[in-house]
Formats: sequence, C-alpha cells, structure tokens
Amino acid sequence: MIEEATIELNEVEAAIEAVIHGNHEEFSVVIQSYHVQVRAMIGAQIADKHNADDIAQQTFVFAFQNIKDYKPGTNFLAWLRAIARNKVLTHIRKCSSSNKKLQSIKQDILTRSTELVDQGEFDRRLNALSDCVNKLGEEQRDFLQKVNHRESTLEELAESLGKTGVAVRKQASRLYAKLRECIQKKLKAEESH
Amino acid sequence: MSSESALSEEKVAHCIQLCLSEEEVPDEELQSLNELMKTDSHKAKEIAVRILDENMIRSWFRSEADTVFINEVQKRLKIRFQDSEFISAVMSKVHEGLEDVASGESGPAVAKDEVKSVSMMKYILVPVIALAVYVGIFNSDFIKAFFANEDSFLMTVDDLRGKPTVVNNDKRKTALLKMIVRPGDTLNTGNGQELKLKYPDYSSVEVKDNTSALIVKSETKKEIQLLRGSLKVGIVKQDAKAPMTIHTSFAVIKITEGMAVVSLSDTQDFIEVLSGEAVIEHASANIIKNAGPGQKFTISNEGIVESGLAKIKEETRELNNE
Repeated sequence: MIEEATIELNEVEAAIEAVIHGNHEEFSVVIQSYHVQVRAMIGAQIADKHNADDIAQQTFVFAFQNIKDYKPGTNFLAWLRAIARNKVLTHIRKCSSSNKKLQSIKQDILTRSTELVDQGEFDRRLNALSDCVNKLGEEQRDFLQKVNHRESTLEELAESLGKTGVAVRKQASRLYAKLRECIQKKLKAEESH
Repeated sequence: MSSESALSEEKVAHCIQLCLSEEEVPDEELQSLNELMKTDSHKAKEIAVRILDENMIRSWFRSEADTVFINEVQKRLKIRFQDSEFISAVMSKVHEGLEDVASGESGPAVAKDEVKSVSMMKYILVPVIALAVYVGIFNSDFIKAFFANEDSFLMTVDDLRGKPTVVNNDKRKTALLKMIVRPGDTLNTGNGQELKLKYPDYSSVEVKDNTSALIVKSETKKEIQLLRGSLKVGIVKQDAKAPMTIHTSFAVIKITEGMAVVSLSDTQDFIEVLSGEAVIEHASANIIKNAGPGQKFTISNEGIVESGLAKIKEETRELNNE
C-alpha cells in the first residue's frame, strides 16, 4: 500500500485528469498524495535535506509542466519516480563537475553508491518501507516525525518529552533498526514467493 | 567481527554518508571505502544499502511531518502559472524596490559590477517605479482578484498540545506540526488540547481546549466561524476592507490589527480585546460596537454589553426587582 491513507487512489487519478484538463489547483492533491514517497526516495540518495527538497520540488514542477505526457490509469507514482531518478542523476553530475576540489575517487564513489542499489530494488525497498511505516504504532510514528522535523532540535524534543537527548537518540535508533529489519523481512518474503 | 573491522565499517559508512551529503571526506575514510570496494564489494554494497535505507527512513518521516513542502511547490508553480516574463520581471523589480525602500538603502542589493553599468538615475527610479507599480497596479481590484487565491488564507500548525484534529470533507486527521490547514477545514480540540496556527503574514490563531472552529472558505479575507469554545487571535495589520472576521453565535467580530480572545457559552459570546481594536456587529440586532484594548464585551440575544456595565445593569435589575 503506497498511497496516503487519507487520499484514495481514484481521487488522485481524478485530480490528475482535472489538472490535464486545466484545473491546475487540483495538482495540490497529487503533491499531497505522493510527496512523502518521492522525497523519501530522493532523500535516500541526496543526504543534504535542502538539496533533496529542492530536487523533489523540481520533480513535481516538471511533472506538472509535462502532465500531458502521462497516460491516465497507468502508474503515476512510477512516472514521478522516473522523473525524480533523472533529477537526482543530473544533480550528482552537476554537483561533481561544479566542485573542482572533488577528487575523482569521490566522484566515482558518489556515482557508485547511488548505483549500488539498482532502481528496481530501490522501488521495492520504498514500497516495503511504506508497509512497515503503516505497521508502526501512532505514538512511534509521531515520535519519528518529531525527531526528523526540520525546525526543532533533538535536544528541544528531548526536553519536551522529559527525556535526555541520549535516550531520544537511542529510541530513534531502535525504531530505525526495527524499520530496516522490517524492510529486509518484506523483501525476503517477496523473493521467496 | 573484530573491533578493527567494525571501525573500518563505520569509516566506510561515514564516508558514504559524507559523499551523499556532498561534503568533504577525510582521505583516510575515502581510502577505507576504496579498499573495501576493491576487496569486498558485497560488504561495501551492504553498507551502502544500510545508509540508503537510513536516509530513506529519515527522509520519509521528515516529509510526513512537513507539508510546508506543498506550499513551496505551489509557489514555484505559481511563477510558472503567470507564465509571463513581464509579470515576473515586474514582480522581481517590485520586491527589489520594496526591499530597498524598506531598508533605506539601495546599494547592497545590487552587485558591484552591476552598479558600474547602471546610472544613478536609473538606480533611484527603479524603486520609485516599482512602488508606483505596486500602488497603482496591485491596488486595482481586477489585479487583486486575478492574484487572489486561498493560499494567502492557508494556515500552518505552529504549535500544538495533545492530539487536536482537523476535519475536511468528513475526513478526520490528527493535527501535526507544520501541517497546512485550509479554508473549509474544521479544527477540533478536546480536553487539555490546544492548537496554534499561523497565517503566512504571521497573524496567529490559538485554538484553546474544548473548541471547534471552522475556517470559512473565503477568497478575500481571513474568516473563522467559532462553533464552540475559545480562540485567541493575534492579527497583524490587514487591509481595512478585509479585516480578520470571526463569526460567533450572536455576532460578527472584525479585527484589522491586534489581539483578542473570543469565547462562546451556551447563551452568550464574550470578547476581550487585549490590543488594537475590534468592531463587534450583532448578528440580528442592528448594533455595532467598537472595542479597544482592555475592553470586554458580552454578546447575547439582548444585545452587546460591556462586561463591567453588564454587571452594573444586572445589579440594578436585581435592586429594582427587590
């Protein structure tokens, strides 16, 4: 299950149709439905969150401008991911060539690290993560959202929760490990089928 | 696994993370990764996958909690929507000009080498023309209507206590920090729950506990229907023709600038103006009152009465009855 719980797939398809027919405002439904998946995918490969968000924004802007190329009823998220993939690769190339100090070995590593996981596998990991996140309790999900929130520090969060920074970090690490384990299990189960 | 190899793995992981962050990587860590890639590419891949998974998970939750992103994309799209270099150029000149006028200086906003090619006259004229364009064009109702959209009336959840909810089209969501609240949404808080929302112009609305409030769909002003409970609003200066408007059971309260607390009981509404001024219009009787800082009013079926006076009137009525 990939779609956000509150927005149904047919609602998104209806919004896409509306955008294609000129109702541009409906595009916000599309962004709302898919931004988490697209940003998670980009954020995995571009660790700087500002750059990652910038690329995600570019992805949606590009999708909007070229929405007539999308065939309604096919997989819009897959189409978005393909756009995002190209944007990430362009960013890495641009970034490497604009940074003269970047040694050739680093360029090589940067390219290889992103290619280590081929895209099909990466999409499967993202789907698995979506399922695993849905299995988390509301409190755990809320906690991880707070930990990763862009405007509050971990120390501020720890204070608001009446915990130490170390305890919050440990709790977050445990949850990340649990999610990684869940992803692995799902992928293994998929392979065995 | 020996501690040495664990250390090396950590170096490799750190190196990959730094590479993905486009940061400088210490030579030692680069070498560790390079060696591992040559000697055990399977292990290198395993570590890289772990890093990618971790980044993906963090990014997922950061995105879940952050709907400001949608606004950012919309902003980008709006520039494209206008799809006119002329309007974009005018807009950028307007902003440049206003920034210069506001800061009282025009130099720093322009790069040094640009200054050489621009005459001083042009330099002075740009902010003046920009201001004229702003006053002349943007104050025309046609242009206002053209640019008007509900974005300016979107609110962001700035702070919250407990788990308030937001209802839209019969779908209930738990409010999250930075979530966007739109015209048409209903805000609900229960016991001990609170919600603080911020408009793009930094006006704020605090939804106190046990409150229900509907953000009215309006394209011209900030408008809220208080259904029960209590709100505290802090309004930065609004257009006099489009004040922040709060509808209660018995009144329509308009605030152009200032802070006020509005609450409802079963039979009366209350307003206390903390700063600025509010205009209270009775919903059925033809009564309008201006409320200034420190003034409290009670609004009921009978009319609008300043709270102090209400007490005196009540006492007088009791005395008369006796």
